[in-house]
Amino acid sequence: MGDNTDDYSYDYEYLYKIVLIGDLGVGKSNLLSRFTRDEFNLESRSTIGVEFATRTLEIDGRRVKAQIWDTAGQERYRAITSAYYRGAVGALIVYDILKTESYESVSRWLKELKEHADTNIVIELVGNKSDLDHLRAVPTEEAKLFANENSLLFTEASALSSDNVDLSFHQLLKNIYEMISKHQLDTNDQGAQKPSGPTISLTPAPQEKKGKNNSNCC
Amino acid sequence: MSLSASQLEDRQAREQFLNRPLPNELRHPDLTLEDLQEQATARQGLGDVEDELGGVTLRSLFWRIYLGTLNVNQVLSSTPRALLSNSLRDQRQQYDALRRKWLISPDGRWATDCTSPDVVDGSFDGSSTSEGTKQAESVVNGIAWDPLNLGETNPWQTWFAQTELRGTIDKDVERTFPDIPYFRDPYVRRVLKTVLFLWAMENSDITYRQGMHELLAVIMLVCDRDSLNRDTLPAKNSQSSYIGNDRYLNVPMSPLQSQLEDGRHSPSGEKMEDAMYMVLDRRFLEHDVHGLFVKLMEHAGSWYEWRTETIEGSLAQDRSKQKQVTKGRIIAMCQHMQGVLLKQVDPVLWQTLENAAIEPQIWGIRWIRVLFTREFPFASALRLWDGLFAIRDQMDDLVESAMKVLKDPTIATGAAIALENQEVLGIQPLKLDAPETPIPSNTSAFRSKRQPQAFGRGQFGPASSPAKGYGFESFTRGLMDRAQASGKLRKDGSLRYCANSHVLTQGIDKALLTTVSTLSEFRVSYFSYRT
Repeated sequence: MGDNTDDYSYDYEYLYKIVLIGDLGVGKSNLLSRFTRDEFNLESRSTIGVEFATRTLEIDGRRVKAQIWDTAGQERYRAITSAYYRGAVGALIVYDILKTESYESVSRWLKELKEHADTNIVIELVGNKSDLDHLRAVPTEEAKLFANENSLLFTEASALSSDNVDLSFHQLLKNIYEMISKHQLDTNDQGAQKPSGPTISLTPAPQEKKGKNNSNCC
Repeated sequence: MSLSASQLEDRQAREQFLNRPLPNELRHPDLTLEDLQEQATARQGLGDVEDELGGVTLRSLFWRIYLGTLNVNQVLSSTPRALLSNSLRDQRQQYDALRRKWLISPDGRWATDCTSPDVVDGSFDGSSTSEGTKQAESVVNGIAWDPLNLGETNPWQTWFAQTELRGTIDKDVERTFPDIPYFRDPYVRRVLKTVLFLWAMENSDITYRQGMHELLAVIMLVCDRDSLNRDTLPAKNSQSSYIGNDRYLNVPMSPLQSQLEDGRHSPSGEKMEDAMYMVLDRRFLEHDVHGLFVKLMEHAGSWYEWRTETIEGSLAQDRSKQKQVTKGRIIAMCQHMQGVLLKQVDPVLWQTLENAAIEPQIWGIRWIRVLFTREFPFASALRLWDGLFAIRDQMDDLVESAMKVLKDPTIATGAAIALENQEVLGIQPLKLDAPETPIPSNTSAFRSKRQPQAFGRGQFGPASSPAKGYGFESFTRGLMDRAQASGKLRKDGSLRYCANSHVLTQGIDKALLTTVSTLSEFRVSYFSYRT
């Protein structure tokens, strides 16, 4: 589960929760392990339930800690879904450039984000397995166009070769940082929240969820 | 029978030399299910952990008895063998019927990516059996369906959807316990895929969900380890078995048939062996694995339900009531684990989780769905399963009584749970001593460790004192002890307590909850029991 090599002291200024979504077998867990531990495993087990990892990096001179949530590609259970998306400020929708179906599912994942995640969530579309360009089934231009139309960030990356993996996460985190800075400026909400615990949501929970916070259920 | 007298003597001499019990417990006239359950609970799991794969001889036999696919009374030597062979034959025939039901394409050919009872050059010779009824399916009113016809009634559409489902299953089967070379074997993978697919088709409300593949994989490995290949012994003849040829495990003689047709009354020793060969016959490995999996899923299936949310919003003005309706059983279990059990045994940890707004399903789903195989080393998880299966039927009231008893949580209880939760909380994990036994590199090597004559050893002896261990190993042993201790509590009859029966239904899930909740109580009982 967790990133055991991680330092759990609070030497960061911002903590962003990011979720990984996409069909099963597109390489979500390997993108995560490549980004957080620089590891890749061709034979990784399928994810069951939810797993996490973190990495702290610097953006505009600020220490930003990315807390990344990874889940089973087949997971469609609402009770998990809502817990999964709650408080997320960024999302990576991953597809496999070799598998048309996984690309076709992107709009469904997008819909799910619209339904469950914060409206301000920053979304990036990532075509994984770019090292297998010769077997490609999804043209780059097509995906790029789709991303533009839906205001998504876009990259093609390879968890195996590590091409663009850091870049895609950096790009997402930077956009989140800018979005939140702007948001705070707009709303004149000055005192940026101090890190005080393992999970901090920098965006308010959606209105409809507020009533549920008191119950033990999602 | 197949063994000569000298071979038998030789074997018995070796058993005595090694001071191992003979495989005679199963024909003890007084042997009961309770005795066998005791085997798991008294020793905190069956046998001793020998290697990383937790190899324990005859574990699969115990599991089959615990879970009810094998009736212990039928194995007794006093019971006519025909009862055993008939019930085994029925179960195995049912599995073959399932394969025929779901694996024959509309044009009568066998699904090439699955196992099949009668394969001739990849096509199923349906006409040679009475089951070839599906052959006509692609021909309706004299019109043969074109596989490319997109009409909804075209049987090919269903067929292609099922092929897609198998593709999904494949993706997980290929990623099953990648550390264990056994699961790279193409035959093993094919069996896993076939059994999962058949279960999914027979349980269309749940169908296949990720995680089931690991439950099945454990069963497969455990059963395969015990499976016996009669071919390694001198065969008397090579009459055909009920099931035709076996492409992978070429065995010439059917113990079932020979037993039925011979009608011989062999000496009890050989008779016992016959029973063993019937029950553990490798040719029916897949059939028996399926049987066990189905039984396990009678309990575990609901942990994979995912469609309950569709009810949401449609009924009930009473919102709390609505919540109960829409809440899946796995969520209820997770909430119970954190909100009730954890809160009682470790309020501090519970408070930490609550403060951090960590919902129980975030960590609990994985615990439950794959029954701790990702939380514990493989061998330890198997020991835990021993206990969960063994005490399945006794567990009905245990959780409640255990909870009632739990008035004095100790640091130790919290530690055990913290061990599990450390990752969620970001605590550095304990250093565990890693077993160094090499894992067999392929199926044949794996099997070669289990010669047919190896059955019945070692696991039936008087309970030796449990090995002292640390980390996961001792924790697992502790779980077994607790389960046992709570069983004793129930026998006292004084602590029954019923509530929340919708959460706490019967079976494995109760064992599971009990393991979390009864730790402090167990420790008291355990130590008084030991001294």
